[in-house]
Amino acid sequence: MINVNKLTKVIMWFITLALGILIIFPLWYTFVMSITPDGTILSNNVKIIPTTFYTKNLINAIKTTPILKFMFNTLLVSLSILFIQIVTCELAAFAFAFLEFKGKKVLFILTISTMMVPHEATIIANYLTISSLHWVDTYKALIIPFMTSAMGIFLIRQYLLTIAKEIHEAAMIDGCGNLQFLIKIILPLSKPVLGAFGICSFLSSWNMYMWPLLVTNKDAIRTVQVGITALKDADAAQTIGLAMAGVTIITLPSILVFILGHKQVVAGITAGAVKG
Amino acid sequence: MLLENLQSISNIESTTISKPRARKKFALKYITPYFYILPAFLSFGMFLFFPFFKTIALSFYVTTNLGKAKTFVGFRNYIRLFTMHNFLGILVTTFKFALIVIVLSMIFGLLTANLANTKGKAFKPFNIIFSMPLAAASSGVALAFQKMFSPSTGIINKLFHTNLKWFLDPKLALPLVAIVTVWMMSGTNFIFLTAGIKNIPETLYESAEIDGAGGLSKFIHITLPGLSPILFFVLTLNIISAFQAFAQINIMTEGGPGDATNVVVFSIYRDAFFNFRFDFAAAQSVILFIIILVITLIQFKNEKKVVHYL
Repeated sequence: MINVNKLTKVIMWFITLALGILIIFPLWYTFVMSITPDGTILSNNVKIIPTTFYTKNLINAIKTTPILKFMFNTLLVSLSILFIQIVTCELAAFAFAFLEFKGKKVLFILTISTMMVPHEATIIANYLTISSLHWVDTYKALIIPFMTSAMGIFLIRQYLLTIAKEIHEAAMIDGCGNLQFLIKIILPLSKPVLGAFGICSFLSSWNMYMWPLLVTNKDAIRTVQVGITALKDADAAQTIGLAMAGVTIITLPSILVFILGHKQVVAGITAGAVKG
Repeated sequence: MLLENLQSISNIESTTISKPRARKKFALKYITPYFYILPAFLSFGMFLFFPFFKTIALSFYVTTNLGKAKTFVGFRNYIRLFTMHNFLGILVTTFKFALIVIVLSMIFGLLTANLANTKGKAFKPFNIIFSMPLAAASSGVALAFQKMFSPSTGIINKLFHTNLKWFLDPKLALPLVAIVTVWMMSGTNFIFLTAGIKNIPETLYESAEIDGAGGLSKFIHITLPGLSPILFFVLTLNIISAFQAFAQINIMTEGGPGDATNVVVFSIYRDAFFNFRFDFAAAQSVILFIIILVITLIQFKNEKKVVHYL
């Protein structure tokens, strides 16, 4: 952190404020539009500070669009992915950290190298697989392709390597099986890394867009990110308030969760990247 | 960074001396470890390795409307991409887009991370503000941006008394989508760079102050070199995300006006799901993979030259 004199500090603060407004403005304005009647939005009289709290847009968004269903779907999909990923990643990470087997190094490098294949490069073939299984418009299509995560295996393995191997050996001598050891000792010990990884996994599934766009056609199965864009409707002037109310409803919870859990989110995001 | 980690991992492994063990009695003991990695590898196999090779295979065939390989045509799809499909134009657009995104987001990230970490209470709240796009960045926000820049009803034209067409202007659309992308990525960049700044030992600054170094000189001689590993990581991350941009483009411009914002991933999507040319889409996917692979490899190779580990 750099120490500077007072005047420079004041100037720096105002620059920071200006940049901060750049970041906040779209979010703030979305919120303002969601509580403003369409007539006012469309008038040339620009209002950045709301004068009234007009709730009809928000009520309409909930009543006339399946937005709550979208949110439920996304929550269900994200939590399922999170749970399955924790199981598959923890199992694999445990094997890579504690067990000896032929080809371990090659398989681990193979795991890491999968991170270099962009999701978009395999999406066509994956779509063909899902449609040939007749899984389009099912929760399966949204969950099963994300059963594991190379990043998760890598992060958890790195963490498990810091646990002394002697604990494993002692447990084996005492007649504890590998699976039992994993569940009773390793799982509780790996809580911090699971928390960090879990947040990343949840955020990425919550924000998933391209895949759900391809494999869902029905509102009953759609996720928020895809569903919300149904409110786009070209430039239909009278739906601006409604669309912005929808965006507010889906964005507000994640922003609130983010502000409350800011420290954990930061720890989760940076877990794999910062040296030392 | 990844490669460096990999190397240190293999070092750890080779230095761990495995104790002589009693001969194992059951073949089962040799097999069980594979059961632990089986679920993960089943998933990799079905949704990563298989589609990866299938995509490569499809790119050498003419496909049916349902994406089934029909006749083998060798490199014809690749050649046609360039001769009939204006794929070169799409690539140029993609690189332009990536360049704007990367330059702006690195500058913005460095600026915000350093400013928000200035000593003093007044700067504290900005730590949350600058990381907020991480939670908010989504297609919902892309929709909000689209409405804000709408020529007739959007706030931007009203606020600045301009009469610009923004997303509908072939010249403005690409830079504008890039700027929105910078906004969307800024939260993650800010968090990484802040973590990097906090990792620089305070004592370095203190001793520089004793030597009479000013704010700017400290930034250039301590912050930047100290930040270089994480800066490098963020750069890689940004390049890859820039090449993968899709949601914001599909929501705000749908590749238009004309082909002004038609980047590779959008083109893959349009060829596969609107034109039902899965073969062209597959060939473009392969090219996208090669581009990302080459960039990643170049970065790893140059990492040692530019990165200073403290």
